[in-house]
Amino acid sequence: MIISLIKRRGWLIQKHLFQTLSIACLLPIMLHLTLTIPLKAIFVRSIWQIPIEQWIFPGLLFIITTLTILPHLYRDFFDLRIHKKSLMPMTLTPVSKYKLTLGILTVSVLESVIFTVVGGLIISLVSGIVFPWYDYLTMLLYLGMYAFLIGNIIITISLLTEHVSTFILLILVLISFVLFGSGVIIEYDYYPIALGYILRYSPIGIIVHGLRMLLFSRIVEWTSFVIPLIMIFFWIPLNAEILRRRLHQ
Amino acid sequence: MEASVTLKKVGKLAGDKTILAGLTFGIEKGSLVAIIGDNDAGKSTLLRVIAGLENPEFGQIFVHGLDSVKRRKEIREYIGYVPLNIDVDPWLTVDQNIRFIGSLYGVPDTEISKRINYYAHHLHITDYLSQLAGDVSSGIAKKAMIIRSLIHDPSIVILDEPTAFMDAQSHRQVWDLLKQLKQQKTIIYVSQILKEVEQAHDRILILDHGKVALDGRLDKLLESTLEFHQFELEFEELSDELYKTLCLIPTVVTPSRINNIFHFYGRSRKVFFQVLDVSKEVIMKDLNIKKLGLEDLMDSEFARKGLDE
Repeated sequence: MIISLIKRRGWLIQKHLFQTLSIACLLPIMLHLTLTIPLKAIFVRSIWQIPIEQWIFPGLLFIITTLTILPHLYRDFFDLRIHKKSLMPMTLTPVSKYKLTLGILTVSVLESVIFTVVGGLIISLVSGIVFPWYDYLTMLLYLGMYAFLIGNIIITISLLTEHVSTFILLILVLISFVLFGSGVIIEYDYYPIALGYILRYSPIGIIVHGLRMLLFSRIVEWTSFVIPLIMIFFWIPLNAEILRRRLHQ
Repeated sequence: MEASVTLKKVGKLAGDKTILAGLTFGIEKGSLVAIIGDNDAGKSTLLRVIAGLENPEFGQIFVHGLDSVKRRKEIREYIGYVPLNIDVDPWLTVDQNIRFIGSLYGVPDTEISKRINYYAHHLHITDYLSQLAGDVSSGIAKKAMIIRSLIHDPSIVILDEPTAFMDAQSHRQVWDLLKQLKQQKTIIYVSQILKEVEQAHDRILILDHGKVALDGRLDKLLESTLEFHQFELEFEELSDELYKTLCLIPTVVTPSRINNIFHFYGRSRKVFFQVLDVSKEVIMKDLNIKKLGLEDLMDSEFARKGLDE
């Protein structure tokens, strides 16, 4: 089933190969130019005394993951459902809603992680930031987990909304939260203590915080991957159930 | 004969409205069943419920003896469904659309290619296979949907308006294929084209407000209506009193009037003479008697109330 979904995604990317490659190259460059460079001019170093371009690097990867996972999930769970296109025949096959949701999500995660790795390489080339090889592996692990979590949130929004305007509004709120409330750009210590604490332990924030702790302090926060993993574990069947109810099946 | 599909008191609601009202019937294996009825009669909903696309609010559906809710996964292997509206992925080619669904059913690639080539040849869409589904005409897309529904070799094929959006030649191609598949597969379809239904069916179900008003083979239905004649008598003046008297004749069925024209159905010709006898004092200007066909049947009250009157 997963091979079929990967093939299908491959066919779709093939149709928009030029646009896809352009976005894969332009997005990281644009993020570097509009975020890293001005932040470097303002802060130089983070509160933890890490060079800002190094500190912001994982944050940029989280942003790329968020932006690249969105179109695929929007297409499959909102657009195709609302316009009664190919989602319906997919749900008529013997593949369960759970497997279908998990399959589409997994393919989206794979795709966005590939985009993010490419993006990371481009940013590294442009900025000259280099991490030890095992840090890249850590980042990959956390990015995968993050992609599963943010993917689940996007699926829930896609399934619960019936109008494109509502969908866009909710996605803008989500992206705003990722940019300004999850610690990818702004450190939690800049917020009032209570708010910073809440944001740090929000489902998205906990992953971002956990990765930075591991990269820059070499401290493993078990909660930073145990809690998200538990959430992902329960969120996928929840989304499958929402899909089933949405399709009245 | 063995039943492919069995419905037991199947009901479907949409808010307060009853879409399907406790339907109970079976569909024999290898039969070609046409479902017809007025708009909003519940035909497409019935197909969707049988296909497992929607769950009934009450009642049970058995497919090859398996409960459609408890054994959903197994049942899906048996069913191929073609909805009324085009639902192909516009950004995949016609071939990719079919291939993708085939692979979700677990059909090997070589078998998928073989079946696509076979059906595409029969439906004359081989040249369109490599085109984007969003770029082909609705008729071609509908043919692709038919192939998609057959790709996993289901034993039951459910089609909502199988020839919708198609030209006359395509109509013939689709029906040639479906008639060829009959016997190997149970085919259940909805159509508004009564000529198509007359030519292609083993059984006709006429739905009205979610109930089966008439059920049977066309010859049986016509046999039931054979003695039913549609009478139209035009009088010089049809008074209210005469109209009421005519309506009271026990053998006059579903009488109605338009100005001076008295319209009714009768099971035997005797009723005509009874009406003449009652109205002999009034000058008759014109008369029209004809046997009922499927189209007349659909226009008549029988399609709503059945033939028991």
